[in-house]
Amino acid sequence: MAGEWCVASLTRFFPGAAATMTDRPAIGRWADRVLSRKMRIVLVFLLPALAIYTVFIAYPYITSIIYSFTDWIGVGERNFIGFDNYVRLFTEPRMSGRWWNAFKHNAILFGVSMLFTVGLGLTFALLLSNRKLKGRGFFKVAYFMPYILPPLTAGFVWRYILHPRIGVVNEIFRTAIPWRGKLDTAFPTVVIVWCLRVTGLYILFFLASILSISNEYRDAARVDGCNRLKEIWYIDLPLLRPTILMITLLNFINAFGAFDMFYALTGIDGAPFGRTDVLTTFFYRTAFGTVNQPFGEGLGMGSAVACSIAVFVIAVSLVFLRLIHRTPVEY
Amino acid sequence: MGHPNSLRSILLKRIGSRALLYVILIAYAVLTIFPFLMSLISSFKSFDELYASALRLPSVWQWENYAMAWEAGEFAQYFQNSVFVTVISIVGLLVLGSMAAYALSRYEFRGRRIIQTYFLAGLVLPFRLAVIPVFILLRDLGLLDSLWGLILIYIAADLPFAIFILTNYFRTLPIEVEEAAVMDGAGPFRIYAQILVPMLRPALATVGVVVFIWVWNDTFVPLVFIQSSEKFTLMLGLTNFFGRYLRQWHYILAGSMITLMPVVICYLFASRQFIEGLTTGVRK
Amino acid sequence: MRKTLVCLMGLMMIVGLVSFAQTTEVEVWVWGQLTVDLMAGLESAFEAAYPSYDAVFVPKAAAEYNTILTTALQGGVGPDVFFVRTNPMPAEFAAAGFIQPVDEIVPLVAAYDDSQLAALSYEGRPYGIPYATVAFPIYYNPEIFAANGVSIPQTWAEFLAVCQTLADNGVTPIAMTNTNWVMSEIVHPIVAASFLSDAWLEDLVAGNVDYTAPEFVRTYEALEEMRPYFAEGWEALSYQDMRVMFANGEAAMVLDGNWSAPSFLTMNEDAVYDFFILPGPDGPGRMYWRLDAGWGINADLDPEVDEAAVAFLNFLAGPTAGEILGRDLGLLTVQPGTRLFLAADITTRMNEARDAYGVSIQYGVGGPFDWNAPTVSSSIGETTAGVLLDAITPAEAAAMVQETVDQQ
Repeated sequence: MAGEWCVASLTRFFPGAAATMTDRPAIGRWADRVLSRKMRIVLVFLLPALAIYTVFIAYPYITSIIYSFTDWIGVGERNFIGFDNYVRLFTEPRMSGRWWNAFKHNAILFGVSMLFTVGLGLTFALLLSNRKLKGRGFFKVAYFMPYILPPLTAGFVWRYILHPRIGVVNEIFRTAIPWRGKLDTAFPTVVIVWCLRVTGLYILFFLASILSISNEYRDAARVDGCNRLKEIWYIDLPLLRPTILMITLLNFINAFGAFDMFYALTGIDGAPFGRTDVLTTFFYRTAFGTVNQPFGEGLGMGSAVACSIAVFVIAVSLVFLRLIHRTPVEY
Repeated sequence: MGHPNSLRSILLKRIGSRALLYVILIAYAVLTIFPFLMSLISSFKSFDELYASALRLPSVWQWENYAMAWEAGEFAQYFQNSVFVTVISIVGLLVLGSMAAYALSRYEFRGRRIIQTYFLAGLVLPFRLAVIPVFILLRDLGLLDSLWGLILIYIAADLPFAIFILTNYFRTLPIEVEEAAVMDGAGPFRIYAQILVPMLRPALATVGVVVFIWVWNDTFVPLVFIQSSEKFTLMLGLTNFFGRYLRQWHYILAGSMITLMPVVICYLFASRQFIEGLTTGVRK
Repeated sequence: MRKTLVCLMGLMMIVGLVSFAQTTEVEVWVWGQLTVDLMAGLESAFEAAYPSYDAVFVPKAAAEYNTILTTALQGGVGPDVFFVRTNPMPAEFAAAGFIQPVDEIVPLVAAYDDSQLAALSYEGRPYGIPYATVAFPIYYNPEIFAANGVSIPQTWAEFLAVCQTLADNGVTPIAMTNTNWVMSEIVHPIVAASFLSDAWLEDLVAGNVDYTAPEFVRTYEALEEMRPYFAEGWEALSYQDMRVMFANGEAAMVLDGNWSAPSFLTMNEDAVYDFFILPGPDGPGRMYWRLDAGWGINADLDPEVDEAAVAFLNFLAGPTAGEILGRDLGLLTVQPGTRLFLAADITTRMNEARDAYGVSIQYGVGGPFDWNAPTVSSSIGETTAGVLLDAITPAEAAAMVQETVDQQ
C-alpha cells in the first residue's frame, strides 16, 4: 500500500523515477533509467541545501504567518484570533501611527539612499572610470571601507564622533549639538551615516559595470567624434540601465530592512520620540518589548508586523523584477 | 602654429579639470576613511585627552587601552567563537550552495523554475522577520545557545544569495568541458568535484567574501540566540562591553578597533579580491 | 584490623574532601555590570554561610534584560535565580510555569508586607522575594550650591530660581539624559510626586479621574519649566553620561534613583553629593518610592541546584543580605529585621525621608495600569521625552497616556 503510494507520488513529481521501481527490459528503458538516474543525482545535489533552507527559513516564515493570527504573548497560551492583529495594527491609532511613522522613515531612507548611491555613486564611478586616472585602486579601497566595517561597531564609533562634548563634528564646527538626540537632526544624521556606509558598494558596482562595457562601442563612438560627456550619455547610461535597476531593487530591500546602524546609533526605541524609528526597530519592540513593557505587544502582534513588512517588500520587489525583465538594451 | 596664450589656457584647463577631479575624489575619500582613522587615533588617547580635544594626536600612545579592553572584554574567547562560526558557515554554504547551483543549472527537470524562485524569495526577505519561529525551532531541537545553531541559520539564510550568484555564474561557463568529461565517462560527482569547482573559483570567492562580511559583522542573530557569555561572538561581546563601559570612550574605542581589525586587515591585504569578488556578480 | 580502619578513615576523608570541594553553582542574573561589581559582598557572605554553594552573578544589559531573560527561560536555558521586575512579568512567568512560588520554600516570606508581595504575586501566591525598594530624590552637589550662594529650595518657584541663579553663574544646573526608561521611572515620578496629591491619586486608581485631568497635565508643564536648565546636549547623553557629569561636578543636580548613591563614588572617588526632595508648588514636596524588583527562582532545576538556589533565596530574604545591600548598593532594603544603621548615612536618611514624605500610590511604573500591554509606564516615558524634546504639548502628552490606558 505505502509502496504504491510512494510510487504514485514520485511519478507525479519526477516522471522518470517510476521506471526504477518496476521491472523493465534493460535496453528498452535506457532513456528512462537515465532520466531517473538524473533525478536521483539532482536530488542528491539539491537536497541538503533545500532541506536546510526549508527547515530554517521557509518553515519559519510560514509559521510566522500563522503566529500572526494568534494572540500569543510569548509565554503561555496561544489562541487563534483571525485577522484581529492586522486590523488592530492598521486601525488602532497608536499602532498604525507608529507603523506609518516607521514606514515613512524607511521610505525617506530609500529615497535619500537612491540619491546617494545612484546619483553620487554613479557620478563617482564615472569619475573613477576616467582612463587616465591614477590611484584608482586607492580610491576604490577607501570608498569601500565603510561598507565592510561591522555596522554595529560603526554605530558606536559614530556615537563617539557625534558626541556633543567630545565628538569631532562638534569640535570642527565649534558647536555642542547633540546630533543623535535632537528632534530635527536625529533622523537626517542617521540617514547620512547610513548612506555614507552603503554608497561605497554601489560605486564599485557601477564602476565594474562601466569598465565592462565593451571597448568596441567606445571606439565606434570615438570615430564618430564623441567627447566624454556624449559618450556617457549615449553609451554608458543606457547600458547601465539594468545595473541601475538592479541597484534600485537592492537599495529598496536594504532600506526597508535597515536595522544595525539605527540600533547602534539611536537604540531600539527610535529615539528621540520616534524620529528614527524604522520598521525593523518597531518590529523588535513590538515582539520583544522594552524595559517598561516587558512583553511588547506580544509575539502574535509582532509576527503580524513582520508579515506586513514582508508582504510589502515582496510585492514591490516582484513588480520591480517584472520591470527589469522588460528592458533589454540592444544596439 | 600655436598661440602661446591658447596653448597655456588649454593646458590650464586640462590641469584645472584634472585637479578638480582629484580634489573631489580625495575629498570623498577623506570623508569615508576619516571616521575610521579618527577613531583609531582616538583609541590610543587617555580618557582625559579624549575630553580635551578630539583632533589632537595623543601625547602618549596608550597601548594599555587595548590590553584592558582585550582582557576585560574577554575578546580572546569571542574571537575564537566568531572565527569558528564564520569559517564553518562559509564552508558549509559554499559546498551546499554550489551543489544546489550545479543541479539547478545543468539539469533540466520539472519544478526547476519553482525551486529556483523558491530560493530567490529568500533574497528578498530580511531574516529578522522569521526570528520568532526560528527561535522556537532551535529550542525544540536543543540548539539554542549553541554556535552550531548560529551556523545552521547563517547557512540557511545565505543560501539564496549563494545560489543566485552561482547559478548566474554557471550560465557563463562553457558547457564543452563538461560534455567532454561525460564522453570520457565521468560521473556527475567527478564532474562536480574535479572540473566545476575549480572553474567556479571566482564565484565561490565572491560568495565567500560577501558572506564573510555578513556573518562576521552580524549582531542580531547572536543577540537573540546566544545566552551564555562564553559563546558570544565578537560583535555580541562588543555590545556587552559597550554596555559595561558606557562612558569610558577610550576603552570603547579600543574595543571597537579590536573587532574591526580582522576585517580591515583582511580587506587591506586582499582588497582586490574583495572588490573584484563583490563586483563579479554584477559583471556577469 | 588497623589496616582496615586506616583504609576506612582514608576513604571517609576522601569522600569528605571531594564533596567539600564540589561546590554547587547557582547562576544568578542581574541587570548591569555595576550591580554585579557592588554585589561582591553579597556573594562572599553567601558563600561563607554555605561553603558548598557558589553564587555566580551574571550581568545582563539592563535595556535588554526582559527580552534576554524571557527568551532564555522559554528556551530552557534560563538562570537559576534572577531579577524579576514587578508585574506583569512574574505573573506571566508564573502562568507559563517558568518560576516557582516562594511562599513555601522561603518561610521568611510570611514576615513581609503584603503590599510588597502583591506586585510579585500571581493568583494569590508570591513568586518572588522582594529585592529592594527604590526611592527618587534629587541629588545635588553641596559644594556647588555653597559656592553659588544657593540653598535647598522650599517651593517650586524657589527651585526654579535656584536653577536660574546657577545658570546665570555659568554652572549647569541639571544633568539629564534622553533615555525612555529614565523618563518613566525617574524623571516623571520625581516631579509627579510633588504635584499629585494623595487624594487625586486615589481618585485615579479608583477610576474617578483619568490622566487627562489638569493635575496630571500640570506635571508635564512643570517638566517644561525645568527644561531650560538641562545640560547642553542632554538629548544625546546616555544615562551613564548623565551620572558621570554629576559625579564629576559638571552639573549641580541630577534626577536619579537611590541606587546611584554608591555608584557616584565609583565614577569619581571625590564625588560630593547629598539629596533633597523636590518641592511642590506650595511647599515641601514628596518622594516616590516603590518595590523595584524581586528575586525569582527557576522552576526547572535539577535537585541539587534547586537546593542551592532555595538556600540562596532564603539568604536573600534575610537581614544579612539586607544589610549588605543597604551598605554596598545603597538600597532601601525590605528584609525584615535589617539593621539600617549599618548602611551608609545617606541611605538611612533617605529611608527616613521615605517614611516622612513618601508616596506609595503608584500612578505609573508598578501601578495598576502597568500590568497589561500597552503599559502606562512606557507611555509616560515616551510622552515625557516628547514634552522635554518639545515634540508635543503637555496636554497632548496627557491625552496620549490616557489613550494608552484606554487600549488595555
